[in-house]
Amino acid sequence: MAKVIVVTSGKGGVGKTTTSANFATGLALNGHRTAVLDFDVGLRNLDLIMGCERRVVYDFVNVINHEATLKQALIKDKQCPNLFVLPASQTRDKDALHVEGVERVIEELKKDFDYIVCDSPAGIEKGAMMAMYFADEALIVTNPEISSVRDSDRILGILAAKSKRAEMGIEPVKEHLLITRYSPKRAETGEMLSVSDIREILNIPLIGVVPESEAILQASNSGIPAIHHQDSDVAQAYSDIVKRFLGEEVPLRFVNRQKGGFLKRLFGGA
Amino acid sequence: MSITKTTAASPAAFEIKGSSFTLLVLCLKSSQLPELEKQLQAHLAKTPDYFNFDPIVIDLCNINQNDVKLDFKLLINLLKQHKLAPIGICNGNQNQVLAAQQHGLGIFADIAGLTKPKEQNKRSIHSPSKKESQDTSEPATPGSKENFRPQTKVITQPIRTGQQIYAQDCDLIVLAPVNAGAEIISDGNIHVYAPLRGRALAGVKGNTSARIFCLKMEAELVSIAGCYRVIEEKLPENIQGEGVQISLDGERLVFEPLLSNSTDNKRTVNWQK
Repeated sequence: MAKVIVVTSGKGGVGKTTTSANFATGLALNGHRTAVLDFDVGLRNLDLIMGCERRVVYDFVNVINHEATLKQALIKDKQCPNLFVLPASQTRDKDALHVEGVERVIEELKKDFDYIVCDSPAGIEKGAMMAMYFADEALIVTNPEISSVRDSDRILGILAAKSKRAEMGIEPVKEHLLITRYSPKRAETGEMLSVSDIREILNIPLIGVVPESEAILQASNSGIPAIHHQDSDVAQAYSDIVKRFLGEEVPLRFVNRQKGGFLKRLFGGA
Repeated sequence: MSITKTTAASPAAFEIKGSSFTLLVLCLKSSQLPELEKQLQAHLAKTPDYFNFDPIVIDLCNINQNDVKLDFKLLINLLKQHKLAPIGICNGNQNQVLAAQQHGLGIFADIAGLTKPKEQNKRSIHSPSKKESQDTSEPATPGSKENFRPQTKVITQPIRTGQQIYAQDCDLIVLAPVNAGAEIISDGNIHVYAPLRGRALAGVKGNTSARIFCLKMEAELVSIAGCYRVIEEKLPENIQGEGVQISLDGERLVFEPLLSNSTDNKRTVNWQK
């Protein structure tokens, strides 16, 4: 049975789209047929980060309005044959999404895919609600700062009350905490919230920590998700997250300050 | 210029504040006032002082069809005769709203199904003070005691930013964290067997003996029977982040460690206005 995973946060700019791209790519690299959907209608970004913006002909809203078939709109990823992107529309607003339309698209995708990753827009308005409504699991992307944690808390509350699973009264959406842009050094000095602070407040299981890294920016700009550059710490962090999601036990990395020797500091790890 | 000066010099003559009250609701099932009068009289015959000019809201949800005529003047007089002070209506139709306003009644926001009666109860009154008087005198209506059966609301999931939980007419027990920005409200006591980081309001209908208990005190605001304290700065060491119980002593909120063995150990934080 196909699983629907929403990547959400409440707050903007914390790394939802980056996480969606890397997580979906990671699932595909592990051999699962994966579709990643951009719910940020009007401000689409996922296609840029996935490097397929030039190939966008039809989009999510076209499919919802029966102007195109799902097959026409899905864009096959260049790197992974198992990965498909359903881009958002740039010319519509978020009201173009509605429950019946989104449900039809997701049900159709479920027949053909193992995992459907929904990239939520920021905020708690319609686009975000639609992205989370059909979710079976949720990745809550959080930065180590108080406003992001607060917004994640809010989103968790909404997820527990307003998702389809909540409305039907069946098993709740499985929640995973994913901390991005983490700097162990700054957490140590108290500039940032630490992993344990965030876990204590949000009170949901941690699936992984992605360190703050320049590799992300480079990857975004080149349109190739960072997870493809396996020598970078970000790629390793996302690979670990995908493995944990798939049930493998992987020790937590990138949460403690690297204290490597002089040579390592001189030549650097990654 | 001189006007502003005088107003600045003289003390403010008034202040407008927001507040919340518990009100009785009279749910009318018929617009036939003589019949209402008959039943009210029969009902209150044994306890003529049952009401003491209690403010009451008239719920028109059962009689807000367009063709129903209601004489507000008569209705208001009738209620006043029975020591009730009608202050407003809810769930009325457009004409009823206009008529009520003309007779000096306020219009409350329509509340769906608040007093949709299931039983044959004439009155839908949920008020702790009335409950006590009912226990001592004769029960007003058979079966009405059912409505007051004390229950405890138990919450096992974290209460998160933006969420609000209200335990009406009962205690509230929370077994998961109450996060900053969340609000828990109870007519009775509040127990939080986890960190309390949000707002906790106990005894909101005026129960001054209500208490708040929590295992880790990090609340933003606590209130008992309307007496509240905003906690902006850290509380004393033995209170902040510790197991604490909060009670009301007169107009003071008293914070005590839960695990204090002796009274010497009992250092309290007083609430100052």
